[in-house]
Amino acid sequence: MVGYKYLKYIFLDHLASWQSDLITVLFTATLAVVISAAVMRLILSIEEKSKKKLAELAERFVFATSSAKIGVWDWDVVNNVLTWDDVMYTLYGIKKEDFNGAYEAWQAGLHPDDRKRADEEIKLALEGKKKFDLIFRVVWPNGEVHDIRAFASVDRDAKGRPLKMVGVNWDITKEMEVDKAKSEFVSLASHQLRTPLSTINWYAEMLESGDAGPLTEKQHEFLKEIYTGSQRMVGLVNALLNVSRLELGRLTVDPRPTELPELAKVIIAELKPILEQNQLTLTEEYEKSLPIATVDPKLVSVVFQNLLTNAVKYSKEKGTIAFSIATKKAGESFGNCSVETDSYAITVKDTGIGIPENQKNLMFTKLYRADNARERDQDGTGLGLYIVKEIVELAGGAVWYDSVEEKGSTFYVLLPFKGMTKSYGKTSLK
Amino acid sequence: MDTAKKILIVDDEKPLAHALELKLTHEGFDVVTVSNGEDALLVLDTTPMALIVCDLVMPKMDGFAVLEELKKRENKTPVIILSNLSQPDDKERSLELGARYFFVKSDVSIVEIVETIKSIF
Repeated sequence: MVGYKYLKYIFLDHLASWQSDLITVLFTATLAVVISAAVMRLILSIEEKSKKKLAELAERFVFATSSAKIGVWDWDVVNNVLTWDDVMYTLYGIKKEDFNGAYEAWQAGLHPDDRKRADEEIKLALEGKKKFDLIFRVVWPNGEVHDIRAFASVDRDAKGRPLKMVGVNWDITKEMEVDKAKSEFVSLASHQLRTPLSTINWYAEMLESGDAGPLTEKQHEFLKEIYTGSQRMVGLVNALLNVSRLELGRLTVDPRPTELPELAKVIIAELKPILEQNQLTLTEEYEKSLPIATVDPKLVSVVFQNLLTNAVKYSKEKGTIAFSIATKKAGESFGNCSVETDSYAITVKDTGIGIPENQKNLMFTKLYRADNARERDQDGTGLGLYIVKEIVELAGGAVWYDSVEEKGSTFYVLLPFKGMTKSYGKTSLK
Repeated sequence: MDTAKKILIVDDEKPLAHALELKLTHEGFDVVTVSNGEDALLVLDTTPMALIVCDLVMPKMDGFAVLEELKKRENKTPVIILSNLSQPDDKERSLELGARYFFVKSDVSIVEIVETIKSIF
């Protein structure tokens, strides 16, 4: 502002007051214009740069999605307008020109058997109840059926009402085929393994019953070994089949309102004979007014069965087994751990042979059996706890244990209230 | 013999079919054994049976196809499915197609099957 002072000195001090006011105003105005122009230029230049950056990003995005053959769609929920990018049309095996807009193309392509499910999932996503994550089939005009994976997110207004759904589709037909082939192989393999086992079982059974004539005691004894060995194989084949179903992720999870104590009681009833035989005492404790759980009863039965059968198998004579189902709130403690979310807390406590300290890490791995278990009972598959862990984790829960060798073990299971989510696998556990 | 005791076994696994045949004949039943669905239908065309015991995995025409065909013909003869396919889907499908019982061969004793058959009569 030295310039100003200088100017002021040169001009203004010799002027009349109205003249110097005028010059001041003019000068200020010019300054304002110059500064505004500079600021405008700056803003425009930033805008230019942003637009350029945006255009670059958009170009890269389109390059990425079209290279990966990911179709992007946009559904204006309010005005019911569906927009597809070019990849979407190729995913449906059609040309843009052949249809009156994306919505018509979508309706024409979606497999009729998957329509209901797709509509349901869209509804749940709009209501904010579930993330949109779906596999469905599309039928191409040439008759080809393709499997499509879809994800989407919902844009909402300030009141939370859905405005727009933006999503992606991509073709997973190849993966599904590989998956199906793997699963069919497993199914066929277990069928083929079972057939000779059935033959051994039935003929051993008939021999034992004396259908081929009376047997000596030794013959009975030998037959029993044959039969037992064969039964073990059958158990292993079944367990392996379950494991491969779990691993292939083809498990159907069908959650429904379930009374956990009722499930447990059925399994405990089945154990009564062996409990009596081994003189074991089983106590049950169920928290009062346990809420109804949303779980797949078949899967939870498998969990109860495995844990209870283990407790029975590895108990010492005249031992005790304590089974309890309670509820725990987030933050409470259970089995020396802190509970993350409101859950059912199940405990299976036995006074059996326990688990050796140095083998504890391996207990939930496939086919692992601790040495003392092996000594106790040769028949185990080593897959029970692995299956329990997989199922419990499917339900968002956790399983762990405490154990002292020769004293006993306590297994803890947490099953969150929010339960299992329905999933459309192609198969179920045996 | 009258129809009342005629049983048709449909299974390509000879030892298993034979074992069942032995047991059932011993119980006084009249047993006919074929090894695939096609032959089973041919037999049923000419000879009425009181019970059909059918496998699922067979060459030429499998158990499911047999069940479907029997359903079409509005078959009234009870059908027991004996298979080594063990998936709940297989059981469901069989029962939906009209089978009265579904057994997994490797999981059931032959005596249990025979007792179930006796209970139907």
